[in-house]
Amino acid sequence: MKLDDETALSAYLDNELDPDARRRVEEWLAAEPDVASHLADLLAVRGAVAELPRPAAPRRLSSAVLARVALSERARSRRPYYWVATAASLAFGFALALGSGLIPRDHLGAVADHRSLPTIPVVEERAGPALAVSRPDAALPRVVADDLAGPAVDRDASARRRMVGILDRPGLGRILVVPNLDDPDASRRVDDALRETARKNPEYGRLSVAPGLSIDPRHPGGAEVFVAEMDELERREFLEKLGTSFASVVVEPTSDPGLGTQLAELGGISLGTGGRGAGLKPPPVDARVALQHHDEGLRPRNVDIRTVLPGASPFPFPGDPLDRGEVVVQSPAREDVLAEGEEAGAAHHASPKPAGPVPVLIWVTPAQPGG
Amino acid sequence: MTGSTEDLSLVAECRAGRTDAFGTLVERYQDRLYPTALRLTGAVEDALDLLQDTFLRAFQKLHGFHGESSFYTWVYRIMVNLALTGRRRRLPRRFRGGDVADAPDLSEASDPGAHLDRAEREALVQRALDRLALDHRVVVVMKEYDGLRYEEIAEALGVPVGTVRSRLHRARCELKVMLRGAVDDSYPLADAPSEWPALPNGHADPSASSSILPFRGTRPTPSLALTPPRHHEA
Repeated sequence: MKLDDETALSAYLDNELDPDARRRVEEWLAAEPDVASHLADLLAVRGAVAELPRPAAPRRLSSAVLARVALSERARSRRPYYWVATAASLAFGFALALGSGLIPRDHLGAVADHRSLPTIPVVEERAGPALAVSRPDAALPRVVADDLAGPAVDRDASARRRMVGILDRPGLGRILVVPNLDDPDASRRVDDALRETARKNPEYGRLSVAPGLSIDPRHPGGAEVFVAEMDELERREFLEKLGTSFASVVVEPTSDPGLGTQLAELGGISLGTGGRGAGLKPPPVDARVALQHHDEGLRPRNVDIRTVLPGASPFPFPGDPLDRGEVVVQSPAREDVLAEGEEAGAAHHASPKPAGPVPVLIWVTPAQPGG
Repeated sequence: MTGSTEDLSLVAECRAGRTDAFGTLVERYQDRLYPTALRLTGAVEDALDLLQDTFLRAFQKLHGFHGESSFYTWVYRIMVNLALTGRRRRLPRRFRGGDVADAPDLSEASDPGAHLDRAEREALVQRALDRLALDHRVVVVMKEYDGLRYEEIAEALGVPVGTVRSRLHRARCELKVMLRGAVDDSYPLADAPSEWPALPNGHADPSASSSILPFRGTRPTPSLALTPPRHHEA
């Protein structure tokens, strides 16, 4: 005897058959021992799945969900979320500060000598506001919006203005360097961590930096740079998520004197407000001046660079300056930019960071130099 | 207030602009939904992604919830359908952290008689689930793991009951092949339902303890698949 529909076995097992169908299956089972054995196997399979554990959610989702809800709500009115695909000219602006071409002191007040700087591919720009660049002919980043309704041109212009607004703020609070350790998905995971972290300010942008530009001489490769605004709590949460996502991601205070130099130059570039559309403002002569650069009120900007390296904890150590809310500023290595009495490469503490969200750069770069 | 009544109140508050009320709903149901999300995706982070997407979609569709079903059931349906659409970004498996524990190799080279501890069994079964076609996996999880009836599954997925039955049977046959040797008389079995069907020849006693099955130790190996399982249903 055969049954036309073998699926009746499962239905029999689940008591989903009417009495007549059940009787037919039972006759089949009685006549076919192999069928009965098959049924027993299906029963065991059912039990195997049914007995899988039911763990509780590993972390609370409500804050992350509400953050996305807020983002979604804002996206319906305007476009808060966007991508910046390429940033040749902005990266070029960074290169002036971060590359090997240190701007000589006697060039203060003048546009930098481009011949000493690495060659950066230039991307044709679409309509939008100008950013601070050292070369008037350099192109602006091409902005690509994501998941936003509306005409592409409107999205790009709005996203660009938002990106410029973040980068233009005087309170650049953090720079995190994330070696991606050859992980092709590293940038996406940083993105995921940002999505889950952003609560008060869920907006952020991303730009690509060409090889040869680096905020850390140990990681000179091209990079994906995320620009976000976070307060202290969000930064800690973000670091925690990075630690979860990247097994070897850590936070470690930098002691590389070269970073101090870059810090000074970064300060000159990142706040390009004054230079927007009018060329680059000259970099400051020392780190403390860099912190005050472009800040008309000469308020010190607190900047801290943390290099994310293998082997250490993603959290600030007890007593760590970040933990205490302090800032460690690395003095430049070059004597010609040191303030009087300042020791090259020395670290000194600046004033505590301002409360509230501040811009944060997350620099995702190959782990190995030149990668 | 009953749970459902309180849920309706929270939904009303959300509609009135109090999004924090939605946070209460999330916290209330995330632990109930998470295990299913985990079995559907096979990875902790993917499950959390799915849950986030689910709750976000639920928030966006709150205007469409009128209490015809419980809020949990409504969100559950959203979740399984999101899992089916597969629109969520998925990490390559080798980069995912927090996966269900690495499973032993399912190849024929593995010793089918080797003792498996609970964690290994879980990993083994989860890997077998992951290998199922997505539409089969969803049905298996909804039926075996969450205990839904065919009609409930059909309604949630928007498919006929016959489709549910067919997918479920095929999925079980595939799982049987993948778990062959691991699902044996040493494997703890689920409690039998009260409506346990009586098998002929005295092979099963519906009122017997669920921990005993008549085929333990007597199952012929290999078990025969009466119909070669098809991987995808049309």
